[in-house]
Amino acid sequence: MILRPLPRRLFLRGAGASLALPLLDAMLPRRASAQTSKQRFFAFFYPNGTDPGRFEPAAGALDTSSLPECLVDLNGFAAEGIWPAGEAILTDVTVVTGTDHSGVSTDIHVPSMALSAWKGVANNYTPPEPTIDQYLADHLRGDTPFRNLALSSTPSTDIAQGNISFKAGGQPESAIRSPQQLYSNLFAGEAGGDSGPDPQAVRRQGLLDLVHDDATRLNARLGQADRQRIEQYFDSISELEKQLSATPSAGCTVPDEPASGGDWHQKSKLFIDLAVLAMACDLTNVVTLQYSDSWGVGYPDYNLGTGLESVGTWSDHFISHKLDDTDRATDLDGLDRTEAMAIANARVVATSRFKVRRYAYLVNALRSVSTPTGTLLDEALVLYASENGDGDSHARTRMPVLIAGGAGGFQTGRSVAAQGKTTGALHGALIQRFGIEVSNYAGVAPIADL
Amino acid sequence: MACGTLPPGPDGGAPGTGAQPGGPSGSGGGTGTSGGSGGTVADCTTAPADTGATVLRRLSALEYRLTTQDLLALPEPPSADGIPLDNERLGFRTFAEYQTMSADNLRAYLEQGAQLAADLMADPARRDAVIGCDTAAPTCLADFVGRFGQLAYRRPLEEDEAAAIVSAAEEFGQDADDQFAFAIEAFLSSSQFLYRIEVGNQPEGLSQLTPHELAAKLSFALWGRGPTLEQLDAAAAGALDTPDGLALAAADMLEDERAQLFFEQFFRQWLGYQTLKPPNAEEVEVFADMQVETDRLLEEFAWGAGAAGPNGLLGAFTANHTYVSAALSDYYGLPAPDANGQVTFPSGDPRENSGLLTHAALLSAKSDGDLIAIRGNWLLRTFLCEEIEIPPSLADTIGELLVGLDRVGIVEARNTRTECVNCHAVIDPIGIGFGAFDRTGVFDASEDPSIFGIQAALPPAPAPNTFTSVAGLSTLLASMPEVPVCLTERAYLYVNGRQPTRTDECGVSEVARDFSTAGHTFAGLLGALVDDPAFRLRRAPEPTP
Repeated sequence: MILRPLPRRLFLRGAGASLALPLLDAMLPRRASAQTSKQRFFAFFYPNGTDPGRFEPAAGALDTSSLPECLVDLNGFAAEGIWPAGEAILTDVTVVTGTDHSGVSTDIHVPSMALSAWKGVANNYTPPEPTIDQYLADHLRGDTPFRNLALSSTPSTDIAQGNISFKAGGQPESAIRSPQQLYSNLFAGEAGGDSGPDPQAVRRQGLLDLVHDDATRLNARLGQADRQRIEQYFDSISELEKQLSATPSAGCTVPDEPASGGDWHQKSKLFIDLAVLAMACDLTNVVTLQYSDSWGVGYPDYNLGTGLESVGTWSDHFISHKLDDTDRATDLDGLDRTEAMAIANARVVATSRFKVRRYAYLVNALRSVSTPTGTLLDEALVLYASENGDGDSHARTRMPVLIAGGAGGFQTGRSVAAQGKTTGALHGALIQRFGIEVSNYAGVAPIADL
Repeated sequence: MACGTLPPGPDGGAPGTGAQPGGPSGSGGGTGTSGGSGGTVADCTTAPADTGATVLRRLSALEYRLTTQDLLALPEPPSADGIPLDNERLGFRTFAEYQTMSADNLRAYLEQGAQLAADLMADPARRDAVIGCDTAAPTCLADFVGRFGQLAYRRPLEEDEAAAIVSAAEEFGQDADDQFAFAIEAFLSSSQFLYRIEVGNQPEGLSQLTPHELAAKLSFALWGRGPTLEQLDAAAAGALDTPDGLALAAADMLEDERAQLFFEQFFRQWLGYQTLKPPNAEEVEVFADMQVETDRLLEEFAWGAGAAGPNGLLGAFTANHTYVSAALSDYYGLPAPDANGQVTFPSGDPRENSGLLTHAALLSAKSDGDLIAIRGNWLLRTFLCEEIEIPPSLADTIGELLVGLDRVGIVEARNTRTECVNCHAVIDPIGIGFGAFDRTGVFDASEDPSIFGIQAALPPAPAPNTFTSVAGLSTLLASMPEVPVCLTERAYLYVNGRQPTRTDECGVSEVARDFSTAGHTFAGLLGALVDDPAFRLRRAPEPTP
């Protein structure tokens, strides 16, 4: 390994004062130089599906006046809690209805399988092949220092509940679970000055070279499988070197450190803000965000629904189950069934709309960043995914799928009926948009007209 | 076990559902043993010792903290903040195959190493103890690298290894002290420290661990930390070469409080109360007391007076007392505890003779959702190692089967419909048995489980297996030979970083039998795990094509 004078970036040693992250607009880089168009992928996961019958538009152009109940906020929405008002994204999104995700996992709440497309798995919780973000990461990376970012707002580290990004062999991608850690990895410790190599950086590189050589020495004692295992260590060295040697794009403003703590929503918002900034600063092109595990997220600080239709403090999981599961909001038990079902349906619409609004926040954030050829959104595909289709029945034959962005000339503003084609066909079609030739993905042909 | 099949009998040797080549055995088939009742696999008497394949294990966060505490003479284990959390499966953070290495990991190890080294150099007493020589002396750095490196790598360093570290420290250390700090940081971020290099005398296939590797495996197995210099030296001198020598070393270690400290985390992971959320935010303080309640009862029956009782550790199932703070006593509605925090359940109390099973730390852990199914499943998984899976044919339609049914109707339907009844006939009678305990783990006399029309029972137990109080369930469990077998499998997982596979059947069967022969003492179980001839072995995995 060649010793080279490197990074101006230093490691944080102990967090400083906790400050609120400024509004995204204040941090956006001003790209001065012309660049070739890049391609990005962002997967946004929110658990517990939806009510497909109230989510799926008719095939064809999306029409403002005839959107299903769950999608009306594609027309724009007001501020709530920590979230600002959002502009309409109707023309930026294509809805894919009727995708079949069944059989990818035979368990009923497995976020770890949400971005996988392979059926016939060895177990119910680790994908047998890389998830779509991992499949794309090397192709889309370019010269970005972070191959990909796997962000998760859940504190659960259960292999099935706390991870959505997996490499080959069912190996979970290392998930960043706090926005403060993400901030530290991306931005902390930039050292200024033009007086030659930073001594600390030279020291750090000497350390990395030493442990690299040490691992090479170890490798000579190991069998083939063990050497494959140690390959993760070598990868971690080379990845870290890339990350530490990164210099943000010109004009890219490093924000203040975000506050620590926070609930699902606060963490997810910070993750979105930082991830979009990371894309804007050309630090990464591939991001996955897990908003919650299947059980955790609720809406105690939001006013979703009014009167009896209020979601109140019930968890998203309980609301998703309406009336016919023991995991349900039981305050409707004494009501006439027809009346109770109307309320339960309204509650699912309220939570589904909330989910769409959060996705729309991400889409708007990407659209707000100008690039030489348009916006970040033009360069991206932004996939909305869940682990279930019908949150009530757990059925996975009609998954809630939204795709925003213009990468590869993707056409938005449509509703496309997948007509039972599998997640493999969907993912294959997305992969093709990035210029990768795949005639078969997860055992099926890509959706042709997507 | 997949829904639609019945659980295997005590001799059931069918591979568990979810089994994968070279991976965990899943559940259901267990080890093919019947615990202490003599259910030996036929050819175990003649089969040579063997072991399933094990990937190289990265230190868990707990092992990293305990090992660095020793290396740097810290009074307490250092924080692992910033190091990515270990992934869990079945509540265990010890599945080696899921503990990956990433740039995030390495970044954190480098940061942590830098901080630990800086703290050491700023603390004269600790610095003198760890460095062990005058840093200004010409040979001090090399001496330190050799001594510290032997502890970090769990073996003496080769000359070229030591020379490379000394050379780099001299080149990149920014002053004399920083050379030592540099060397410490290098060791603490090295693959040979971060991975447990236990590969044996040949790199492929089945191999015999070297004496140093065996010393390290023993130390991590029983203390969760790297071996001491004395242990490494003793191993090099042949102290672990014989079964008696290894058993003697293990016995000594099990009497040390470091074993108790390490296995406290085993109990929390096994029973699932390590990372639980409190029932509600206002009860956080009481929730911490709940964890202590369970810790203390298990401590008594694993290491204290209870271990000498007639059923050893399994006595914790039927104990008629517990340990509570004043706040937790109020929470439960129990009499005030004595000065030791102990309280005996009054006659007729719903928790009478129920031991662990009515601890709020365990009951409130499963507070989100269908308590009948969740608690029944939890008990089967935790104490009988039975995992029940919904079959693929049912997974996507199960909700539609229950449309229009209320709570009682749902339970009735799943206990009568052919698609569901085989599993729920096993699950629900157990969950019903806890029916009068609410989701916070408190007895609620207004709850009436009889509305479901299902008799509380433990179906996997031999008839008669019905019960009318949790104490009855506790008694049934404590008498089932499958329970110590399951406990053996879980301890095996904690110690070996994987579930036992077919290859491990004979060894695990023997361990379970020894556990029973030892009166179900926890130390007997751990001693038997080390005594297993396979403990000295390692099988390299097949490489990925």
